[in-house]
Amino acid sequence: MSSPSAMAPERTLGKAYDTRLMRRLWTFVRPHWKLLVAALSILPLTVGFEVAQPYLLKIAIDDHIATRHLPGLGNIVAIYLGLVVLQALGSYAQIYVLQLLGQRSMHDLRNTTYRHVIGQRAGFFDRMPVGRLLTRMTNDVANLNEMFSILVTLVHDMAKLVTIVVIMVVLNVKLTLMTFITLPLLFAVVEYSRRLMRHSFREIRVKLAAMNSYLQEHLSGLKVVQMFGREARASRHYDEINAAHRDAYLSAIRADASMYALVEAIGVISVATIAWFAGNRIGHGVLTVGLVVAFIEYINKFFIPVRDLSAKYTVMQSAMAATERIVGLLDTHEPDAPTRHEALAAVAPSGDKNAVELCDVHFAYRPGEQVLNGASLEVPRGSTVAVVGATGSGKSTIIKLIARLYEPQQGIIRVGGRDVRGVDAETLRRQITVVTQDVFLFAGTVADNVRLGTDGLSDAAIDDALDRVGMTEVLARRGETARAEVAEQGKNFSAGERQLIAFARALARDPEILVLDEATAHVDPEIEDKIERGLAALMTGRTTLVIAHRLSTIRHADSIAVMAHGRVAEHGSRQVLMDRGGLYARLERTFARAG
Amino acid sequence: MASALKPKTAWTHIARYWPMLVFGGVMLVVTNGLALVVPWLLGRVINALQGTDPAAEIPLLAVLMIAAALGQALSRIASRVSLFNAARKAEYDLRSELFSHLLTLDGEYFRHHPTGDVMSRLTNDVQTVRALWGPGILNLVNTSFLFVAAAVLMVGIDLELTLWAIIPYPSVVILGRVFGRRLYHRSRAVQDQLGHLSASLQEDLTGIGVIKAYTAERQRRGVFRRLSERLLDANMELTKVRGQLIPVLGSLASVGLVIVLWVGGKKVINKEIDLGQMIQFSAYLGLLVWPTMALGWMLSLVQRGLASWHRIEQVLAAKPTIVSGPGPDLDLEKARGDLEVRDLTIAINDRNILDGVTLRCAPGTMTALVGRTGSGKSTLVEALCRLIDIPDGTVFIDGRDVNELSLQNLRGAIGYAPQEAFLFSTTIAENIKFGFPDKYANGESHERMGWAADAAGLGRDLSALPDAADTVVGERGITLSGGQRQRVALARAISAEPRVLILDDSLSSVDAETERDILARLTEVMRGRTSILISHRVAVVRRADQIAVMDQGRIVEVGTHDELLAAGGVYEELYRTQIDSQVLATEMATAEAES
Repeated sequence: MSSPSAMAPERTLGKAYDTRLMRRLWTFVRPHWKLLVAALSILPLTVGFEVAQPYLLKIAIDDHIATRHLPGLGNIVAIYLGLVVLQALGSYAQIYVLQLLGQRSMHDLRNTTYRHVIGQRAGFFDRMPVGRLLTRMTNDVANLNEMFSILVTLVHDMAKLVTIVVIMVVLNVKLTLMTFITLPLLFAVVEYSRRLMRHSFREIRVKLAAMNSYLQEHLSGLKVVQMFGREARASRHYDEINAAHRDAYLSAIRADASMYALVEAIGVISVATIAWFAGNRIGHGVLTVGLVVAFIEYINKFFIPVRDLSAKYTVMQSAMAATERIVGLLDTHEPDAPTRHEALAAVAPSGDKNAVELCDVHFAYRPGEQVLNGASLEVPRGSTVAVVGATGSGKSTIIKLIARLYEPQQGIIRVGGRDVRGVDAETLRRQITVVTQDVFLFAGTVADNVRLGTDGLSDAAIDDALDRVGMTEVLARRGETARAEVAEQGKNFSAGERQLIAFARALARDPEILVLDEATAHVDPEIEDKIERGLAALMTGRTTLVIAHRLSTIRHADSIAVMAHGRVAEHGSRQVLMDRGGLYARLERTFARAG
Repeated sequence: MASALKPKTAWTHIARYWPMLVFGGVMLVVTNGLALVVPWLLGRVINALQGTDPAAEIPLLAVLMIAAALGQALSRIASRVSLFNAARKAEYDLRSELFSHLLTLDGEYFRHHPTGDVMSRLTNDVQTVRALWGPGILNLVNTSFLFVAAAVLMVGIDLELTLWAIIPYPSVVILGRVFGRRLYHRSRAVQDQLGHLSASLQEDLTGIGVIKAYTAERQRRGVFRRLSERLLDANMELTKVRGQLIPVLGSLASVGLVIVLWVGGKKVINKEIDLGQMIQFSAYLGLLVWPTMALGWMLSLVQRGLASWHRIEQVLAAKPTIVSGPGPDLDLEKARGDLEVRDLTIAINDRNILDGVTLRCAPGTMTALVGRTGSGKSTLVEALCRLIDIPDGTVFIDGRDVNELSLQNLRGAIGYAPQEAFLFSTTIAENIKFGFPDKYANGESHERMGWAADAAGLGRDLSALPDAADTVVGERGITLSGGQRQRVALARAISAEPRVLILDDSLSSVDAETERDILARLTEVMRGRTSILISHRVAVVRRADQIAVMDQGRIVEVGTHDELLAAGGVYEELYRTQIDSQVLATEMATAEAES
């Protein structure tokens, strides 16, 4: 597996800070640097408004209350009130700007990730469960956004802490030193709890992920659990993980509670220390009651952000893990149909007899499980070729290779006389339209689905396409038009109706080459006729390669290719194959006998 | 009072831990009591500083302050640990209960509740309810105690000052309500947008093949971008409310302090109170700042917690429609596997999925079910093992109504390999062992697993895998091919040597040769057992003792292959119009052997 995130989502947790990841995130924030500058320029204001308040208190006490000067107190109170209002306004502006910055960056990140994921080759999606990709792009991005707010609060807090220390030093150096005599203790407490928590949080995340995937799996496979009567066993296993998750939390709670309580206690101890110190020095020089009160206020303002560190740490932990997973996804490069091979692009198209040509193609989805083993096939321009073969003979694989959803390990595929590796994927896929057995419809309208991949299509063209495959009639019978709503995955249409919409979709693209995987399952007989007629409308005047499951389709084809063991065993017109007396002839005879 | 029948409330689970809650609550009150001692000491310190001999008084006060701080730290740790631990333990109980309960629910429930939705109830909603129990209760006790105690103490200092100081607080309550409502609505809007984004994303990831084949990348990227933008906008609307709430509540608390400075300052100047009392008073008020700020947060916590509980309650209230019968159970050792269906009709949404089906499968015979997609074959076999609810007196095993038997007993008699081979992400061996009870000793259980794997034709595949049967499958391990998965599921179904074996198209992805091989072996395994086989492959079906043809929920023809072909009905038509890949494969194999 090329990406660590694909296999071990919770392998590398616990690093609360990782410069490489942060630098990566920075690339999403950088385009919005103006907002960042705006936020940073508000920062000194909000910090200033806040830390000026205790100083005002000092002036009020020392210069006015102690000296019994009432008018002056009024002024101080008015200024104080002004600061409170300004601080509120500043905080609001700061939160708003920072959130805007965060949200826009996350929007960019989401879109980049989407683009990246959609651009991966088909093999990537075979391996990567939809649920996991979905989590990356929704929950993990949301998680990141929370980290963003926390980071910003941290910057704010740091600025505040530094400013407080500076003001304290300016006011009175000795008192400041006395205040922070407890600092080593504070560091020790914070560091020790951080270590304890780091361990527990790693455990918690691993167990939570395990619990959720166990739950998901047993909900999806509930029928199996019930059918084999293994409910008790499943509950027992789930409880084991559940209990481990709980226990990991219990130790995290201990660490968290200790840190919170001890930091708070250290704050009070600091207050007691300066009270003691002031008691001995009061009256000597600059030490006043107001100063002591202001210091006590500063101590409170200093300790609250430190006390709340553990809460922030929790969020940072999970956000860093989320970042790591998103970056892991972005670092997975399995590009779909790698860029055009310039040397091959320069080669002039070889003749124009064949619309599609496979030369000695070898292919395996997984190493060692060869699906195509030197398959060669020519589809002449304007003809219809029916492919028949047993399950696993490689029929569907051919379709995927022609549209270059996968790359053959060996051999050449030409479309319109050009090696597909020399054509860019978009041009190639505009030439070919593939209609698969299981039709996928998107939520929206029928018209939206017909318009898939062809933006400029007019309403008239859509109606015409629906008309020609007979879908207009079907819609009319339902009392609907092309504007009819399609539910998720087209659930509100029957399998046959979905087929017709897919035919219209293919027809609207008017491709040169049509590649068709005929439905194996029989649908309701009423629509069966319509499908045959729709198919005929679609195939008229087009090169068609059809994987046939019905005798009627085979009989209408210009030639028939019989696949066996990853090779085209015979290819020719029905008459030629019958005369040859090979596989196809046997097949027909069997059916004749049966009939 | 608390009877077992009493419906569960949001508090039932946490109430079990009442001793921890009481202890935590008492410790919390102690903590806050000690917290209220500090301002009193502070007032004494301030007065002492203004007095004649501060150095004599203050050391004792400082020591008391440190003692209070340490006592507070201990009681705070005790309260947080015991309250949060109780919440985590209750969370564990709730998760366990939910998981076990979900395992009892049947297909009917999951038809109306997508897995994603149930998952989110068990993950997100449980967390939210836990937050209601942990931080919710803690803050509830904290806030109410502090408000009452601080108010009493403040009144003790000066009634008039108290009345002035609490002026901003009524507006806190009003604002809390207004903001609470807005927060709720805007959070809902964000959740809704996130839901839309996820749904569309899930669609794109599921339909990635179509997007690529139709080069619709740009179109879908546009859709995603628009949805992401709407999410951004919704988030910013939420930010506006959140961004206002914190500064507004914060400044209201500060306004209280400004009022104390003004009115209290005047009172100090007029000698109604002393400076120490004023500082003490504002320290009490300061203790209320955090609970006030947290009020808004707590409000949304409680609201969200209750809303989440409601969603959880719905899951717990869901009653399984399929429950064990009163018994007595069949003796599985002596059971013959005589199956009978009498006039069984099953309607879903007013449509008869099964319509008066009557069928007898004699002990030891093989019955094949054939018919178009949606004709009711899978529903019929699911009815046999009560995976769907059936009326009494319609399905019998050895003459006993299956509704009378316990589910464990009935399902123990039947081995079922469904169409979609669901495997758990554990080892292949564990997946196969899932099929039989844990009662066997290690060696015996391993032997049984090996036997089942061989019978299902897995022998060669296993020896090619890195760890043979101990290879882990699924997301975290190796990806098996569709055919291999089906064979593991088949091994699981036969591993318990059930009296009745049901194969619901469970070899459709297995290549023809292997299928033939497996069926030959199974004939041996199934000797003397009753089997029901759904298949699209005529070559498989033709060997059955009887073939039942289904169409639109009815059994339209029953007979042997030859009888049905001679009758010239639906079976004959199916046989003739569909190219059977099995027939093809048989023919090819014969041709190859001959050449």
